[in-house]
Order: sequence, then structure tokens, then C-alpha cells
Amino acid sequence: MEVVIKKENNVCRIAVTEKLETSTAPQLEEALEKDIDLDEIFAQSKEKSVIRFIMDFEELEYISSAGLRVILSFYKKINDRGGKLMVKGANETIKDTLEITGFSDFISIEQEEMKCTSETKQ
Amino acid sequence: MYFGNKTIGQKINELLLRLVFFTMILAGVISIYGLYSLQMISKESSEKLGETAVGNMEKVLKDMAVQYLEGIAEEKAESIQDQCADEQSEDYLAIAQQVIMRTDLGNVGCIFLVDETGGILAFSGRSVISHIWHADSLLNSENEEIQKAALEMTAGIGGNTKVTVDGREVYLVYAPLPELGWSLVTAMDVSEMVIPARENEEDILLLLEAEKDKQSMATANIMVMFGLAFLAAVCLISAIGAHFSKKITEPIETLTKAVSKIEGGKVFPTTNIHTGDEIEELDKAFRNMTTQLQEDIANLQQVTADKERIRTEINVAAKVQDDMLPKGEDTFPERKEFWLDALMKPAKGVGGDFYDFFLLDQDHLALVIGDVSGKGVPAALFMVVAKTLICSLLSTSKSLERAVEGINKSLYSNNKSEMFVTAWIGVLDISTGDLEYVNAGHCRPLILRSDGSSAFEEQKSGFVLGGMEDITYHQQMLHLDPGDTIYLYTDGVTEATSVGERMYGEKRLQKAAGKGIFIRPKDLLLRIWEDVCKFQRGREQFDDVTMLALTYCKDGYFIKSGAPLAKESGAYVKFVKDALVKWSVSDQVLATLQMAVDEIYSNICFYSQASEVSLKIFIKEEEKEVCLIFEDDGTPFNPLRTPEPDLKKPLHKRKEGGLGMYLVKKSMDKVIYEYVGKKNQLILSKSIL
Repeated sequence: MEVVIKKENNVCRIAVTEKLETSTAPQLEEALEKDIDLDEIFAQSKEKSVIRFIMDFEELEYISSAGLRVILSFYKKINDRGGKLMVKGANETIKDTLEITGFSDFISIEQEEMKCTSETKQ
Repeated sequence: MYFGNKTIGQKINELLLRLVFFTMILAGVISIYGLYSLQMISKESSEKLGETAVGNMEKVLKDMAVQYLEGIAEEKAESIQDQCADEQSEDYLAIAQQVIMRTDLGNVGCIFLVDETGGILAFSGRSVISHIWHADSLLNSENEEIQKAALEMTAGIGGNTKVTVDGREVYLVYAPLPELGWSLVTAMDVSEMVIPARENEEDILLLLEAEKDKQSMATANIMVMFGLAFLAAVCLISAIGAHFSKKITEPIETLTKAVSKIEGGKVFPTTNIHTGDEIEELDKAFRNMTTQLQEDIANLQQVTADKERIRTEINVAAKVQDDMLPKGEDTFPERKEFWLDALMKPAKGVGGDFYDFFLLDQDHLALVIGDVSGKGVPAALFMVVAKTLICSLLSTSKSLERAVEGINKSLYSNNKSEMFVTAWIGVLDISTGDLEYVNAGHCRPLILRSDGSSAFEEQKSGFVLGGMEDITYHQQMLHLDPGDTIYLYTDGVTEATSVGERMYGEKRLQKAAGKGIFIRPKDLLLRIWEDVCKFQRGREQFDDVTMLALTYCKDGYFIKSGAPLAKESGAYVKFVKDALVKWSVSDQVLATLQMAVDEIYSNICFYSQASEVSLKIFIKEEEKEVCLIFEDDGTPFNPLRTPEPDLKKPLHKRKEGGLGMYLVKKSMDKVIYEYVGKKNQLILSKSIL
């Protein structure tokens, strides 16, 4: 699995590849903890515009409950600070998973493609 | 040889010595007491003797003295009176004086004449009179005894008396001279008189003393003699005792040595004792016993050798029989289309039960289970023939029916002992799951279907093999779907008997088999065998027990197992992908299946406390379905009963976890849980269309 985090103005893009499951979820959790300083990000936003976090699942095959746990934990932190979490490029399996678990009611799922400028590889 | 013990000889010696010792002690005590008493008596008697002798002598002397004095006094008084009468003379005093003077009473005696006033007129014997005559008149004597005597004398009375004067005993005898008015007195100093007697007494006492010493000497001698005799007796008895006891015990020791040599039964010593007593009898008996023992040992050795040989042969035979039968699970490791295993438990070393499975060609598998009538070696021999015949005829015959008829014919011929075989013989078409079979009087098989149902095959059975010539058999057909299991067994299973004489029976068997969806035959057989053992606990297994199970997978199955480790979850996920690689499974289904494996496997790792987990994957191509079967030996837990998460709750208010099992339930077509054979079994089905 690979986690790529890109920050650009009010958008933070987190790309996850292959599988988000028991064996890989801790890797994502660590990356989110280490590479995203939420306090800094929210402090820098002088304007009162909403900061968006986009989970890019374009290259992801599926998410298991271990992955959902990490996403839920991350969602709570962002939600507390008034941020917004979105999922992009999810396949049918992932969509199903998010729908079955009711995540899709709170996280918007979009098919939008976005370009990235800077990269941090994990 | 005798650690802390005593030999009989020593015991006899000791007994004799004790006897002698006590006798001697008793005798010694009695003798010493006797001697002591004797000594005491002799001492007393000699003292008495001494005293008595002296006393008597004194008395005699005194009596004699008194008589003598009386005699003298009377004689002289008479003489004086006679002379006075004869002489006619008036000078009576002179006459009296003459008589007195002529009378000699020696040194110790005196005679004197007392007048009527107590005065002494004449006397003879100065030494004594000097003690008596102190005053003018005896009547005036200071001595009262003398005064008293003097009164009698002056009164003209005769008599005698003893007076003590100056420490001397003096006898006085007085005879009156009535005509003259005087008294003639004779006196004698007894003390002086008995001096010789006293001297005599000392001599006697000395003599007695000497006698006493002699007696003591004699006593001492006797004592010494007695002691010496005692010692001598002890020595003698010891010597005699030792000699005799040796004589008695020597043969016993000889016998003992001889007996101890027999230990191990290798040496048989000969003894020859002629003592003429019980010991000789004992020796005779011992010799007889030895001879008998030699014979018995030889017999026993022969019997043991025979028995051992037979036992070894039976063991070898059991091994040969066991080797003849194919080994369950590992027989066809390359065949993924079916899965089979067998289990055989003979009641004795060798048995008449048998099973067999072998490929007739790449697409046909023969399954055989049989039971020869009877048990033990004869049944085992017949079983070998039956098994070989079945194997060879199935391989060469055109149809199953003909093959079985041929087997029957061959078994019937040359079967004088009228043995027969019940058998179930089937041939599985591996590619279709069709199973042709002939049941020759055998127990009907149990089929466990992949839908969770189970039933005994209902078809009518044919006649046993080898019982009658020219029997016609008809083959029948059953069909196995992927995941179905056929369970074959001998009547040792259903006729297993409990302590309460109840039979195990088909119902119990069906219950023990439980549901079987893609069940591993090894697990099924063990589960049933354990149940049978539990049922007949406390009783010896009576009949051979044989079972054979085949699970039909058709297109293949995959299994991965090991200890549940969280870090292995990725490997199990990959295993699913690899297993399904040659099947046209969509990416979406594959992702869902992988997700399910990740959920279930990690659940088992974190919560089950299992020591082993296995994942089986079956592909039912006809149904276009994939089955994932998880088994773990952890805490019984039905994941289907977990509460569903509240999906309406806003995300930020939700707790983490509790989603995995829900996801699996929602994304799979079918999820079945069963706790069976001490294992959690979770079966997930997903259509691959």
C-alpha cells in the first residue's frame, strides 16, 4: 500500500492505493498523524473558508473495517475543526462498503479527478 | 545370608543356654538359701549347745553340791548326836568339834556349828567361813539371807538356802541337832566350785566356733563347686548345643544354598541329605519339586515362545494388513476434486474389515468398504482375498455389476468354511460427481449434503458376496454435488454397544456426523469415532470399526491453515486471490471476498483465542459460487448474533469498531455459522457471476 499526501491551499489530498485492510490500516493512521498537522492547517486558513480533505481512492481496491476505523477517527478530528472529508474515485466495492456502513451519509463520494502538485511519499 | 537374623542352630543354642541358665539360677538360689539356713541353724544350735552344756553342768554341780552338803550335814549331825549319846560325856561341844575337824570339805567348802544364839561354836574350812562369819551371831549378820537362814537354824529347822556374800554364791545346808539345840551347817562356794565348769564352757565354745568355721568353709567350697559346675554346664551345653544344632542346621543350609541357586531357573543343583528326619523328607520334596520345576520351566518356555511367536506374527500380520490399505488424506495429494480419508480400528490385532480406494483411470475413483463374517485371523485371511479380488476385477471388468458378480463367484468357489463378505463398492465419476455403486449386504451409506441436510442412502441392498453362486447384482447411482460428503462404515459403528446394552444405531450416527458442507473427511471420521468411543465407554470394543468418507469438491478446493497471527492476514487475503486466479471472478467480487477474509481472519486473531485457524476455498463451478470456510478451535462464538451497528447515528458520534462482521454479512450472499467438532465454522458463499 502507498499513502500519498498533498497539501494545496484549502485542500488536503490523501491518496491510498491497493488495499486498506487490517495489515495496512496502521500505515495510513501513522501517515495521517505524522504528515498532517491539523492545528497548523486550520491556523493558516485566515479566511473562514472550509478546508477540504479528499481521500483519493482511485487506486484502492477495497476497504475493510480496519480501514473504516482510521477514516472514522480522522473524520472526527476534521469534523471537530469544521473541516470537510470527501472521498473521490472509489470503485463499486468501496462505494458499497461506505453505503452499507452508513459512511456515505456523512462523507460525500465524488468521481472528480484532481491534479496534484507536491507529493509526500510514504 | 542372614542379615540380622539367627540361624536355627543359634536359636536352639540360645534356648538351651537360657534353660540351663534359669535352672542353675533357680538351683543356685535354692542352694544358697538352704546353705544359709543351715549355717544359721548350726550357729544357733552350737551357741545353745554351749550355753546348755555349761548351764546343765552348773546345775548338776550345784545339785550335787547341795546333796553332798545335805548328806554331810545329816551324816555329821547324826554322828555328833550318836557320839554324844554313846559317850555319855557332857562335853558335847568337844565331840562336835572333833567331828567337825575331821570333816574336810576342801578349799571351797566348810562345816560349822551354830548355837541357839546364832554364834558359831566350831568350824572347819576357813576360806568360806570367812565370808559368812562377820558378826558374833549370824543373826546379826549384815546379809539378810544369812539372817534369814540363821533364824531357821536357831529355831532348830533344817533346810538349805543359797546366799550371796561378797559376790559369791554360797550354798548353806543346815541340819538341826535337836537334842543339843544347835545346828550343823555345811556351806560351799558354788562360784569357786563351777570354775572348772566355766573353764570347760570356753573349751566347748571354742570347739563349736571351730566347727562353725568348718561349716562356713564347707559352704564356701560348695558355692565354688556350684559356680564351677555352672560354668562347666554352660560350656558343655554350648558345645553340645553347637554340635547338635550344626547337625540339625547343616542340611537346612545345604538345602537353602541349593534353593537359592535355582533363582533365575537356570541351575538345578542336586542335593542328597540323609538325616533320617523331617529334613530328609524336605530334601526329597525339594528334589521332586526341582524336577517338576525343570519340566514346568521347559514347558513354559515352549509355551511362551509359541505365544510370543504368534503374537509377533499377529503384529506383523496386522502391519501387513494395515499396509495393504491406502493411507487416507495423503493418497492423492494432487487431486483437488475430492477429499477423502479412512479410519480402521480392529477389535483384535487383525480384523476382517477392509476399505480401499483407487483410481481406475484419471476420471474414475473406486471406493470400497467391506466386512468379512467372523473376526481375527480367519477373517483377516478372507479379507485379503476379497480385497485383492475386488481390486483386480474392478480394474478389468466392463461394468460394475459384472465385476461384483465375478467377485462373488470367485469368493464362493473354494469357500468350504462358508465365509462371506458384505461390501459396498462404488465408482465415482470425478468430473460429474456421479457415483455408481453396488451394495452387497452392507450398511447403507450416509450422505451429507452441502445444503446442510443429511440422509442414509435408501436403495435396496443386494446379497452378500461369497454366500451363494450366481447371484445377479444391480448397480445403482447417486450424485454428489460439490461440498457433499459420502460416509461409508461397517456395522462395528452402528452396532457398538454401550454399558447399558444399547446399540449406537443410525440415528446417533447421523446426529454425530452433523452438518457437513465441504467437511474435511478426517475431521468427520474423528468426530464420529470419538462419539462412538464415548458411547461404548467402559466396554471393550467388540467388533472391528471401519469408516471411509469422501467429500466431493468437483473443481478443486484450496486450504490454508496455521496459528492465527494478525500479521498473516495479508497472506490469507493473497491466498484468496491466488486461489481464484484461474477462475473468471470479477474484480469487484474478488475485492469483496478479500475484504471478507480480512475481516473474519482478523476477528479470529483478535478475539477467538484459537490455536489454529484454517481457510478452505471451494469453487462450485456449476452454481458459479465461491465458498470460503473458516474454522478455528477458539472460544465458541457466533458472529451472526452480534448486534447491528446504528447506521443512522452521525459519524462523529459513532464509536470505532463493530462494522466488520456487519460488512461481511451484507456483502456475502450467504453466511452460515456452526459450532461443530469443537470448532467454530463460518461458511461464506458468494456468487462469482
